[in-house]
Amino acid sequence: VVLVAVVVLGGGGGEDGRGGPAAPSADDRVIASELVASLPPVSGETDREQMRSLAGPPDAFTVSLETYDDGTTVRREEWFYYDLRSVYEFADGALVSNLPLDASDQLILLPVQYDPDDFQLGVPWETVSATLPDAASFSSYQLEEAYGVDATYYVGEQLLLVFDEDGLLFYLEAVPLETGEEGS
Amino acid sequence: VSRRVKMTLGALLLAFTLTSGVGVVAYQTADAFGLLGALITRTVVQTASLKDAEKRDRSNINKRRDAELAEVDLRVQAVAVQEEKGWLSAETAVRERERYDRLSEAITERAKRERQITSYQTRHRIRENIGNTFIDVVKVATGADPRAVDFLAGLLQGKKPLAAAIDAAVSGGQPVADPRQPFRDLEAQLQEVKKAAQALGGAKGIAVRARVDQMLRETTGIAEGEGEPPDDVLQRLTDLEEAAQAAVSQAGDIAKDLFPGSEGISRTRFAGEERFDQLDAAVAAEQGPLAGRVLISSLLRNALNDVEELAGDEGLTLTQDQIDAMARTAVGLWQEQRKRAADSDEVLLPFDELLRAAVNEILATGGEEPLAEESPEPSDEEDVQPPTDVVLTLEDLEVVFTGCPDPKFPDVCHYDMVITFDYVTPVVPAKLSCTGEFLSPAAERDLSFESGSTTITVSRTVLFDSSGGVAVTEQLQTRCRLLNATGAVLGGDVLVSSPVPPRSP
Repeated sequence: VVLVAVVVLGGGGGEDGRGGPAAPSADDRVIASELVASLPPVSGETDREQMRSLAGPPDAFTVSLETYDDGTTVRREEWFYYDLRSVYEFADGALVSNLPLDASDQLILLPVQYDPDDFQLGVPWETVSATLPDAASFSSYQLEEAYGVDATYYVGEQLLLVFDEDGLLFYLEAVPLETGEEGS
Repeated sequence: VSRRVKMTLGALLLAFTLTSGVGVVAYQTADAFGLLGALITRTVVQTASLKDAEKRDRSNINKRRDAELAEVDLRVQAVAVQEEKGWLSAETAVRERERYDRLSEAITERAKRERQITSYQTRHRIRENIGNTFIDVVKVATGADPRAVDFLAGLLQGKKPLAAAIDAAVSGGQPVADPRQPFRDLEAQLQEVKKAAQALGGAKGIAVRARVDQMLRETTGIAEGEGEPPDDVLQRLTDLEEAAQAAVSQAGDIAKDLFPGSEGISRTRFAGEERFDQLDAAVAAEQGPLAGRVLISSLLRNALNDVEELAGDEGLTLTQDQIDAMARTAVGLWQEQRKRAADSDEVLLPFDELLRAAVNEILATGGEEPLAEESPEPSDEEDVQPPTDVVLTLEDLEVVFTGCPDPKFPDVCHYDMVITFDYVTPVVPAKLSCTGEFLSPAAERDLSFESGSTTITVSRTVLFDSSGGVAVTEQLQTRCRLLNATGAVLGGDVLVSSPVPPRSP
């Protein structure tokens, strides 16, 4: 299935139709070369930092701490740019995916008060709340028991924070909003 | 028991329960909060904050699950593509696939457990707490003055707060010592409105931000002058208000949630098309920062897609070369404005506006009519005088070869054209802009005086044909014109012939 996907999504492979990307034409090399040469100044060490220097901070984002079976942890982030209709995903700062977004036909209200750089994972609510402009306005809820996961949410002002059974932050979303009729 | 040990035990028990077919209850007893627990919770959160979540709660659990699994499949395909292009190492790709396997498990598990849930009150409350009204959201997000947020909300609702403020300023009733003072007050207010507008996103939001920024600059111009403000400037201000309103077509003032992920992924645009794949491969083959190349690739995807859509909407018949040039120019324009914004507080124009400008530029190069204006025409009573006294005269041309042939590509030649013009412009600030095929983005020079002499450097790249004898682009011309501050053409069309560069050996 993956091989088929590569062929289909990679443009059908080489000219012989037997897979593998065709070598770029000279015209395309010129276009690519010009555009890469015209990039705005890039700064930062990681892909994530470099993306920020090129495109600015994301319009919206998710940040999560994922713990793998071998005990290693990864900070994953999804950065959403609505005008560019793209989402970029990073794992410990390395770019791991880029997917296109559908265009919204509504006006979007961005959570501009938040920045992914401001959030440290693995810390309790008390630590996070000290950095929020109006932590008192947040409400907390427990995930329904039937889900079988002992998680607590704090929600307010376009931000959703989720804490694990030890009360440590492991997931957050800065939530954009659309204008329009509620429930439509 | 430490958290690490607890998680490991949980993971082991989870593996056992999944392979032995033991159901949900056994898993829950494990109380595992490893990767799967995190992913289950994450998918619950995503469901909670998706729009129309209530409708899906019980009746559409399977439908929702299937949609999410399909999206995971899309992401797995993306991993394959990224790996193929060399943008993802084989090791990372394996780990990504394993992660998506676990995400699929989590989605399936969540759907099973969700069937046991009888009340979704928590979910509803979460939704209610994410955001309330437009006013509150913008006020909290930006910290802008509440009156400015009201101003912005009124603007988006089709009211005319700017026109009302101008009316009040120019017909205050009583003669005032300083007729510009109300505009200084308005300038201060628009500073706050600009701050509030930072919360607006997407193409429509960025269009509004750009118009608000223009309103502020026009108002600053009035505030810094003396005497009664000229009618044409006031008219431009009210036109900008109309343009901002046209961009959003009256936004409702009640917000609904839009989760930034899940359902937003575009399956159709992901599948791409042959031309994008070719250009994408060329970008991937370049050297340079990965983030930059991926960003260019995303922009090219949008540009190619949008040019074709626009051509369909406008009934344009375009050659592939024209489509390529339009896409390349649009991406170049975006890059240029990002560079400018890095050194100033310039508000960026939305990508679709840049794309229209790029399409018009390439159409003009081919002597074709530009696209019709999207914004409504100025009101009937407006008396817009066509610009007069536009002069642009070629005085000198010097050619400097900077890489001919290119060290890496013997069939490519880079050179600079240093062109000197004499000019007269009826408005300032203005711009001298030079465009042409194989020239992206357009070369521009700001003009602050109504007349004078100016020099512009146009960096060009040309390509020789495969026979190595004739430069396929030797007939290219560079077209230079005068533009006003918003990019509208004032006139002064001058065509500068490209020199024939030294040919490839």
